[in-house]
Amino acid sequence: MIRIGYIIFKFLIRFFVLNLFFYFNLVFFISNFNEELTPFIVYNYFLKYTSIGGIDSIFYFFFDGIFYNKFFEYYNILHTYYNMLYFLIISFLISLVFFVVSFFFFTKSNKYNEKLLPYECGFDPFGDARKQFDIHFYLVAIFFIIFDIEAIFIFPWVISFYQLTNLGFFNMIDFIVELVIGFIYLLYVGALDWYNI
Amino acid sequence: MIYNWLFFTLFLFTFSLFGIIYNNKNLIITLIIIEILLFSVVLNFIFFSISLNLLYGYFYSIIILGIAAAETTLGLTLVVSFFKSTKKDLQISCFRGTSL
Repeated sequence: MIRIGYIIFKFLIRFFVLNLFFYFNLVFFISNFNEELTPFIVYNYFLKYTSIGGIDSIFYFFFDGIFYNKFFEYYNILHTYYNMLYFLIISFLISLVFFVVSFFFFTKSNKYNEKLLPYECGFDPFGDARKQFDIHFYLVAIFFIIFDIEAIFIFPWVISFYQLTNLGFFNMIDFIVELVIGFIYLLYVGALDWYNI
Repeated sequence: MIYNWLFFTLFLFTFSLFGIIYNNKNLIITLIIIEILLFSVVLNFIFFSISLNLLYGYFYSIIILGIAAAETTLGLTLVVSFFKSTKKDLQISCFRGTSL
């Protein structure tokens, strides 16, 4: 059951992300040349192309001209997107043709042990491509992240240094001193000893 | 135009979301992906503050970066303490749990 729920959740996420992409395309495309219409377009998009406006509203995509009236006037901008639909259909058909035709022309592949090696005429391969590295590096990563973010906090302090008061100056000094105290405590505990994890 | 930048952040956000869903290898990759996700949000704040000529986006982005660093250090210390107790690699995924 967990497996089935996982699959269903995956497809739901895919569906919503695809909807998001089309939605942003539409809104940004239209808002380039007309900014007053964008809220109406957002509302009409949700009404027409998602399941928020109704269950069978997705079928309106194929019957665009039929439901034309003044309130739905701005839907007809989507005529430019029919090219994308044709492109998707044609590319799907072409890939299907390749997939089917390849079954009539395939030959049995001649695989033997030496052909499947990564280096056919060199030295014998040794080891694995995915190398496991030591867990001690994670400690170094932790310290890197902490002091990296400290540098990020210092940069705006330095840039606005001329306009700072004493309070702003000593705030940053306090921050640095507290970090140094923490760092000295970590050295005292022995977090950076390599063979004493 | 800000919309072009928003496409970039949307790209980052959605692909890191897919990465969280599909990743079932280990916790480190999940931590990196969460960093990318927070980074896309930070970029959104910065782009909007550029386009609106407001400084609040910058301040909030710095705060988010600090919180993201704290979260990543917490995750890494979890990994290290797990390794201390069991001497094993931690294989974890968000939807399938651990495989110890």
